[in-house]
Amino acid sequence: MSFLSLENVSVRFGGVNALSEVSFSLEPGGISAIIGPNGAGKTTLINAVSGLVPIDNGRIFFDGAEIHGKTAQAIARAGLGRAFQHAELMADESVVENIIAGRTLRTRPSLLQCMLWTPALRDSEREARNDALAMLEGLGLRSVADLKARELSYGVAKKIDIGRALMGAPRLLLLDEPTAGLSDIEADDLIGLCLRAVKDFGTTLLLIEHNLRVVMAVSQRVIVLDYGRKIADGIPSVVTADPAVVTAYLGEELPGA
Amino acid sequence: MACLAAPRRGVSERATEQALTFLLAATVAVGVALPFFVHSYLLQMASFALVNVIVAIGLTVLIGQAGQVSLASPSFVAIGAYLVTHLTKVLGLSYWVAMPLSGIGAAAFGAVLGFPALRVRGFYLAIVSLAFLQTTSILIETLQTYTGGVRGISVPRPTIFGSRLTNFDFYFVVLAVTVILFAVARNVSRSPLGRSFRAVHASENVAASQGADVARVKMIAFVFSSFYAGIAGALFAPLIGFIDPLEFGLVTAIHHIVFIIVGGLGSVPGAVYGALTMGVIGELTNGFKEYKELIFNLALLAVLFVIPRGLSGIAASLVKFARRRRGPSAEQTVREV
Repeated sequence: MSFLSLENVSVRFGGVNALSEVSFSLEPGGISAIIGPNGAGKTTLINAVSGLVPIDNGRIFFDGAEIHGKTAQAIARAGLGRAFQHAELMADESVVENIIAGRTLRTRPSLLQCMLWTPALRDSEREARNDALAMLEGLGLRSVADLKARELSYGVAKKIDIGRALMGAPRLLLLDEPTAGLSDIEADDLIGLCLRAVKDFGTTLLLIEHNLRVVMAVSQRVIVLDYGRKIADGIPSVVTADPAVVTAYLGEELPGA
Repeated sequence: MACLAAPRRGVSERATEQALTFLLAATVAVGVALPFFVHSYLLQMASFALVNVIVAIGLTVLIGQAGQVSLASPSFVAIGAYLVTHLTKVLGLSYWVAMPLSGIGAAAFGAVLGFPALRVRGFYLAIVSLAFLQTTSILIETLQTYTGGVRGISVPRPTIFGSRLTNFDFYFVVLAVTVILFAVARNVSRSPLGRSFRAVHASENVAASQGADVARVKMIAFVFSSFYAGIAGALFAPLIGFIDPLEFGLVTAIHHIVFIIVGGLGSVPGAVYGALTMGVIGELTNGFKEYKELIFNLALLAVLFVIPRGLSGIAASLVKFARRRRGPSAEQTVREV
């Protein structure tokens, strides 16, 4: 049984087929990427896998268990984390609070325990805070710990979003266009972070990307979507040479093609 | 520069915390001393203000932190008030048992309002809560046997060791309950649950994607908030001695919202000072009779225009200002080191 597998997954929005019969499976480890032009269904695919969008057809398995039809929280608790295209942090909270949230939101503390602020709770909160600070240290962002999330630049916010997801120790992490809207330098920085996540946390990464330069640089596997269909799947150099892919990206220059 | 910013913030955060603790301690000290300086009528007004503080604390957690807009707070105050009346007057329970039970009863009804909140949000939730408010009013009017209907019902003062509590005594009961409930709400706010409230407020989808049980979090917010309102009602009823449905209508709901907006949405200390400030303003404008509501609502508009983040927002700005002024000296210290 593979790690993540999609079997004939279809999602329709009204009359639009956002995803049609998409199938693929991933093995644990490494970085894979889903690419495709705007409107190809990339974000829909991530939303379907993480339980935010219901699928109309097909099946999705994660680590041997069916996850389609489960709630987003159940899927997150099963070890499938995600980051968002626009970071989606709690704007009025400090950065460190946002990072801690990645750990504590999944816990179900009892109301009574929280009302009394029990010693056990105090200890686990202190531990979560220390771990969050260590995470920020690892991201090289210790200095922004006490800033409000709304004060961050876009690039830093995206890193914090990934750090928050990593706090939940996901076995598979889905990243929605991690480098969109970033300068080349920021993008390289973020990719460095992704590589470290794979190395240090043993997380498997599946990223949606627009930026082919990034995809070519980091991923071992590329899946191409166009109009909701999978049109290619394989190692980057082969996929980008595929005539169907070139046509889909017509007008865009494919590095290595 | 960037590396200097972090420690400086840490220090000022601690200073803010200390200043707030000092302010709260001073407030409690004033609260304890008050009965020895004012006459019985003012003392009763102070007790009412504290009852409002309790409602405001629960409501700021629900609306400000968890983002669940509700106009039904007077319903839960009513449920607490009528429950405590029934439990003591008809069932003969001791007030000291009936009071917490009334809070729990109101909390159970809070779960009832929580259910629609699992499906609807924002404006629609506000409308649902409005329907809840109206339903409670109508029920109070129809269930005459229990509530006295529109004519109202008298509520006995609780006794302790056989002697009836005076305004003086009862004030201390209300003060003690307020202080305890304040501490509890602060605990919840800084706990993982408070973080879950704010995460659900920011985005339900994002919170769910981090593994948050959104339905549970919302439900807890409703139950928590209604418990506070229920306790407030259970204190209010014997304090005023007579309750009728007029006390628990939309005007009261708007007052509650004003308290938490003036205080700064989501801030527990803000709710305290919002309710107290408006209590004082309300008392000062008592002579204006029909213009009282006007003044109340003008105060709300003034806050929204001038200090949109309320009293707690002012506090935050003051801290920022102080930090900016202290900035150069802090840098200097670092340079000297």
